[in-house]
Amino acid sequence: MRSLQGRLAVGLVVTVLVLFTAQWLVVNVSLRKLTEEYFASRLTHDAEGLLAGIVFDPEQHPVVAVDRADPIFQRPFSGHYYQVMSEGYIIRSRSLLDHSLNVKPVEAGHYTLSRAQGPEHQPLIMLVAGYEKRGRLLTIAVAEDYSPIEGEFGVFQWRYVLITCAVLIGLIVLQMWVVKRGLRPLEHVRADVRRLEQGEIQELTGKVPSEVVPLVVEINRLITIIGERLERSRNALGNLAHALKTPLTALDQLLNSAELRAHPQLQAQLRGQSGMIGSFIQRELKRARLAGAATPGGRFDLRQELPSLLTALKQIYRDKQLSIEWTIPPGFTYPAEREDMLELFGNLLDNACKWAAGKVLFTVKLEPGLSFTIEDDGPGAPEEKLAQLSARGVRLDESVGGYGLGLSIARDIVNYYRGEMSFDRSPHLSGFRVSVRLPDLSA
Amino acid sequence: MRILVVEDDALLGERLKKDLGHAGFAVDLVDNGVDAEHMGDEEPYDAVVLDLGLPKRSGLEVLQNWRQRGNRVPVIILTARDAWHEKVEGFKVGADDYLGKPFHVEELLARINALIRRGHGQADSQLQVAGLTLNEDRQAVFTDKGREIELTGIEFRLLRYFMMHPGQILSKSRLTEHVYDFDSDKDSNVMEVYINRLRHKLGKELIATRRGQGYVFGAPD
Repeated sequence: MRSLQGRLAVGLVVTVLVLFTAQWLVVNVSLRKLTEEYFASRLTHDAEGLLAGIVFDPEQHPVVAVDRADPIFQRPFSGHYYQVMSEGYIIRSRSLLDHSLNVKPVEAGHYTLSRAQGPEHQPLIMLVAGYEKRGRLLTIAVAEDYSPIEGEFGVFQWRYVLITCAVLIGLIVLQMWVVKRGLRPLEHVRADVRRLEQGEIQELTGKVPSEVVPLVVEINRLITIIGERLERSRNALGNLAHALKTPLTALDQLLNSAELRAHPQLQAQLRGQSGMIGSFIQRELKRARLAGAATPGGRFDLRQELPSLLTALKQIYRDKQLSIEWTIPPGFTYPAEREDMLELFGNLLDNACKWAAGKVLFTVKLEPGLSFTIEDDGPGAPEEKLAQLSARGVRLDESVGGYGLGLSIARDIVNYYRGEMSFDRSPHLSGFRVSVRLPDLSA
Repeated sequence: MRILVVEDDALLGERLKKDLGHAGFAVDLVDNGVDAEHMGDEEPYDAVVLDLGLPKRSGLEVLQNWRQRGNRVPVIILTARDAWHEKVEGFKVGADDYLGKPFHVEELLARINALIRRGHGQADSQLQVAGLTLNEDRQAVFTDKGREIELTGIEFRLLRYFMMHPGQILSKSRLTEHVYDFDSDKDSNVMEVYINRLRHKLGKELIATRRGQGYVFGAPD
């Protein structure tokens, strides 16, 4: 997608270019017309001056009285020329020397204005007018070199282009600044969205231009809806869990009744089935309760949450004299949903505590994202089982003896957060080690 | 040992009452939070099995109120809400153990026994006092010579309570409170009959009488 800035710049350049070109054309044409008119009136004056100075010699040939002609016509190639023609007789100004102007006779009372080539390649503008004096027809051509004016023209055009370019660049810079300034509130929104994703804020602030307000309102509405939906479905699932598990428990109790104890085989079969239902419900409900990385606005503060989790674990395993050592970089937080994270750490630490002889190590690495290991000094798992556990996409269920539901749920959570989980033998404690890496969501 | 079971599901509650009763506990069953809180404060329970999703008042609130008033009765939370954040919350409020539904009665019994033993400073898995070893599964007692003595339900309850409190003076009314549930017909004279039966089975010197005060088990020799 092209940037707004780019679109606006192209639009501006095209508009300005069209405008300046049109203006240039108009100015050029009018200027030329104006100069020509000015030349025409000057040359007419010159022609009339000449006409007044024309006398007829005794042979009735026209002669230009020298004292009536402008001295500029006397200097060779001065740029001012005339040529008088009368019935085949031609008088040229001295400035022409032996050149002649290509002139066709014009009827009395008419005139033409044209361009002509003068001596020394001078571009000339030439007025040819027809007169009648003393009953004789006269054609007077007066020409003037206009190259100085042409030069002025060139300079003018150059200046015009230069100024146009300067104005254009200036306008583009100005426009960029205006656009940037205009879009700054959008930058603000973008930064806010990022902070939202990072869980630093709960919703977008309304400090944006009115055009963007609907967008912000919409985003906030979506956040609320997602939050509410999550809450609702979680509640519904909690209730469902309660509703399903309690009768299942009652069923289990009934299985212990004296009547069934008399049929141990039947009892065992029923137990097996109800146990399967139980673990399916457990697993699927837990999985359904996961919020996943999609929920904005949450930030999990592990250092703050860990103590109560450890208290709970120590309470559960208080007959064991466990020492749980943990390392978490100060100020460490991760943008994830609290309940998901408690479920992840709870299950993995619980597993470690269950197998540990007396020591559990929990280390969060100082890396982008969330990267941690949990190891214990228990018996660990044999190589082939480790490979089985680590294999991608393998469903960890009760069939992988001992490492059941807890690890399976932990893996579901890790998958939800698009992370990786692997298992091996702890190099420090020689027991089981689980390593988890969740991606850096700000990257 | 007397236990309060707080469970709003009638079927499960009755089954629990029956199973725990078989295991030698005096059981009171309550199906809502308000009654549970009241009973827990008024009656001297040795343990409480507490559901969380209760009518009238939630289990967590009940537990919190008990703890705020200094009621330290051992509590095991028994609930379908077994996500870790709920467990953490339960322990934070003051639960001693947490068991998710569905569960097996054996597991619940093991945890209740462990909880009660811990409460009396007994870390071993079997109760051993004054040369006697109590087998909670078989509801029988073994002498140090390996002889098994069978006990009736009330005898078992009584002996277990004595073994949990060796060397302490236990009044007749206290023994009654911990051996019978709330609804039983409590005649403290019957207690004398059971104590005499225990003396007959285990030897006279094991339970001494302190006139006007009560009885002492495993009296110092």
